[in-house]
Amino acid sequence: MRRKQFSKLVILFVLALSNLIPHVSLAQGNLEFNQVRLFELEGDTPIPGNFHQIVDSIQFTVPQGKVLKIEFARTNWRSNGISTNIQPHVPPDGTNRRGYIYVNEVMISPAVQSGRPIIGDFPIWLPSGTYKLTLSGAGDNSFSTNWKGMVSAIEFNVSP
Amino acid sequence: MKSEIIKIIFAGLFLFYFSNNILGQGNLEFNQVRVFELEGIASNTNSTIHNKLDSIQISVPPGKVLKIEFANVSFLSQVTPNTAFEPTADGSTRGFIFLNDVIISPARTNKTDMGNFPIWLSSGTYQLAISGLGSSSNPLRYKGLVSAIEFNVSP
Repeated sequence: MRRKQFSKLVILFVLALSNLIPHVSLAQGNLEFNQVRLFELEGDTPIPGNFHQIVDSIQFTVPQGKVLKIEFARTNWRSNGISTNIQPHVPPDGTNRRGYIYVNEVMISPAVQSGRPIIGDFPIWLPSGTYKLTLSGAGDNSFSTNWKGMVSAIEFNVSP
Repeated sequence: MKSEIIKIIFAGLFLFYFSNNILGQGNLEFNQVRVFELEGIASNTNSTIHNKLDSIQISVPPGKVLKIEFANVSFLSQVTPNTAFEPTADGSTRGFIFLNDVIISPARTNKTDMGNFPIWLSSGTYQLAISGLGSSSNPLRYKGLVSAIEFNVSP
């Protein structure tokens, strides 16, 4: 009788263990969702004009044992010279009104240049380390322009 | 005898629960689909000025994340009869959807489409808005749709 109970316990243990095996022995090098990270950038061009200027920048860190997958980065602008209460921001048009987002000074946002195809491809994977996100803009000859940017990413744990 | 069987069952259930949940941290589990609709009529006297036509606040609760997979906007003339909604274009029929004032819908500029998805949002409150161009002589109705999946972050 005791032996029968023991064998039942063994079967249950083996069943539970078989459920563990895929997690433990095959999990090496797997990516596991940790959190969503959203970065927002915003700033006015210091000087009116259609030349490029840095309007905002932030540093962010991808911790040890984690990687970051950037899936979205966009920017848009509006003139500070007209009714900003009702004016939404509009997309850069690739002529004078250009705005970009950079990681470590490399452009990652879609970039329109007149007559040229779009640049910008996602996802962008980053290993652990410290990075700089920058927003630049060029716009109105008469007024400063307000630029907004957003970067959306997922942070994963790298299982040991 | 009966109590020993119960103990064995509990021990088995505990091991099964442990193996499933203790090692399952950080997984995303489908919670619900969320759809947001925005609509408004652009009838500004100045046809070159963009108008914010509608805005809503959305919340992503703690312990959840939102994955936006689609956002688009189209327009309908309020003057021409029997017309259907048309895609926005560069020029006088531009319309956009914004998330915290950043355009997320495809934006045609110099004939180029700039949309990209998905957009992941962590828990918090966000503003969705729609804008469009129109005029008092040719008012245009803009409609926008944002479709997303909300996930539970376990545990």
